[in-house]
Amino acid sequence: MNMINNYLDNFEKHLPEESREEIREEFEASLLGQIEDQESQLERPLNEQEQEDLLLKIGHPMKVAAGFLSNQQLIGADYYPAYKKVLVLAFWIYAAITILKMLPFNISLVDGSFITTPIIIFWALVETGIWVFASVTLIFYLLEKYQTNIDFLYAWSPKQLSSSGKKLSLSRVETGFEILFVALFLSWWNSLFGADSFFAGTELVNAIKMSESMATMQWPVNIVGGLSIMVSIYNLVNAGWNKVSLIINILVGAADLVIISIMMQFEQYALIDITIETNRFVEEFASYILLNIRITLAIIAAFVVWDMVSSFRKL
Amino acid sequence: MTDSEHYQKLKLELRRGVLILAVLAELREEHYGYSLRKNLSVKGLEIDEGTLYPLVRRLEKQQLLVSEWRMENNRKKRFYCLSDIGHQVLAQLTEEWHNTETTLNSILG
Repeated sequence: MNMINNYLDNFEKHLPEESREEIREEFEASLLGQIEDQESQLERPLNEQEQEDLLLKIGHPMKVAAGFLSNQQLIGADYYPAYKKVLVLAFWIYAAITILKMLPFNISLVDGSFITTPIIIFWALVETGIWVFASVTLIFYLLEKYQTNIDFLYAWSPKQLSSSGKKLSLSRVETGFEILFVALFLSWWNSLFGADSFFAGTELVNAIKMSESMATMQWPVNIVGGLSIMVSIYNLVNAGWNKVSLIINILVGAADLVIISIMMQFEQYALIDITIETNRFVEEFASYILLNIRITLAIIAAFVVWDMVSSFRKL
Repeated sequence: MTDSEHYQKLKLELRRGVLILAVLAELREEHYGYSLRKNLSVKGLEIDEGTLYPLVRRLEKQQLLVSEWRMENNRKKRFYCLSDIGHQVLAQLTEEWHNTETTLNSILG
């Protein structure tokens, strides 16, 4: 009976502690009853092979014991929809906070941060994602373990249900990318006015500065960009567009166009200090700024118009 | 997933609900774990240990069954039988089963 005892000992090890002894006793009685039954049919004790066959038929002790565990899922069916919703919302909120916290990072022409910054942000988001996943899962596991009432998370009214029609649907990836893009743009934009960061380590530090007219645009661009990020976060939290966010998006777009049209009329975007000894690269860089900023502004304007038309159609 | 795997999965789902009714009906008479399983098996319903014992414990927790530890053949065994609530629920479920059977028969033709 060594094999049977070993099986029962193993079975017991996988049982919940509070009812271990009781379940073991009950299961043991049934198992031994089964053996006795077979032995009375055969009119002899079961040999080792027959015992092994019987145990194999019953199954792995861990698997049999698993049936006695009350909660075999980390998050059960009743809690799962709320868990998933909270997980997604928490991730996007923390992702936005992570990106905003990283806004004043240094972008330098010298150290190639244009390439490394998105990678740094990506890994920061991965780290945020892991923490959010672990924390939210732990919270919901405990809520379920102690059977905490979460009905408030399911509170709803048919009248308040937002339309899930295609017209107002939202692509989370697209919106997330939009937040990342605007955040990176604002970071780059602000670095233009902070010579110590954008031109750090180059001769351009003292040679090139943004023009005064460009300087007047620094905060309007920040405000409009910030509003754009807030609209995107609002949409993510609400899992879709609504009339308010669409109207705000159109107004933000209109403000964008006003700012772009003003900037298009600037005669100078950057000033070269000719009293400082400059090299050929500085001159080329200045003409590059003049030409490319206008092209960039035109592309941004086209994108803004497309975004406004798209929002208008959804209204 | 193959046809056979689909069939096995759906068969399990179909059996799951029926199992409770069968166990409740069988426990109109007192049984301990193995004798219950054996009786169900004799009547054509095979059920493994990992499914039966947790189910019986759950039904007891729901107050549909009552249990008692007793010595039998020099061994301590836990005997289960239907509680008063269990008898009422069994009657209701049996009626529901007959209704479902009639409905399904008319659907299946």
